[in-house]
Amino acid sequence: MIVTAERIVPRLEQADIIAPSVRAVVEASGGAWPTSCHPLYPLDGMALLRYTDVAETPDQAGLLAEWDVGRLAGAAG
Amino acid sequence: MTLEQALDLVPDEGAVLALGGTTLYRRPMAFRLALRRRFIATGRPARLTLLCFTAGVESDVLVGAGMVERVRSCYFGLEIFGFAPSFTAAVHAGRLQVVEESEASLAMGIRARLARVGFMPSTAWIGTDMFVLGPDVQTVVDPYSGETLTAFPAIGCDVAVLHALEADPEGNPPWGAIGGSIVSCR
Repeated sequence: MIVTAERIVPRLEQADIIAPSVRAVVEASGGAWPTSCHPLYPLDGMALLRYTDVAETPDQAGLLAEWDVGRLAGAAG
Repeated sequence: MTLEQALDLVPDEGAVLALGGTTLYRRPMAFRLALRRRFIATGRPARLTLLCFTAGVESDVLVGAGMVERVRSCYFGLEIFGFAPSFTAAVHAGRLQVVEESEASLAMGIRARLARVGFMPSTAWIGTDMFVLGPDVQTVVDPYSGETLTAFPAIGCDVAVLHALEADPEGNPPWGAIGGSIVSCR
């Protein structure tokens, strides 16, 4: 299993997935955007609407290139 | 570990990839976009099977890139935002195999894998036409009662990816940080 996480914190006292079942931990702030990550950020509906507008058109690659840059850049756009 | 190093854990050909989160909520988007970038640059990983409870935009971007051969899910769409555009186009063009799952078939299939048996008996699907949509699912006769039960085949995956609020460096995410994710890695 691969776990991406908004932040890496010091050793946790309680966990529900335990480390032996995890092969990789990756810090990925904003890693769920444009989907939601309660309670840190909500679903970005405007980004989803842009996606449905351009998906399967020549403009899709440009939008996903923006998404590649990440949540903050995408939100600013 | 970096995101690029984590991508190396996905086999090059025909991997079964399980996805955390639900539809449009807490999907591992950063991982999926990085996986898509790698496919566009190298042609790998290819011919993926996506395994998820409800597939959303995180799966649609992979289907749109042409790196998905098969989807096993109960749902594939964008909820209030409508159909998943690349999924819809790929299915209409015959480029994507869809294995129709249900809550029961996924839950029982994962339970069978965890128990290291080939199938899990259940009363789910009995009396329905789901067997027409899922011809790989067969029935079995309970040797004790004689009752006919559904024999849901074990479901595993090569790599499961989920996004958590937090994790420690050894990889211990608390449950509240991963809600809604399915975990079924063999």
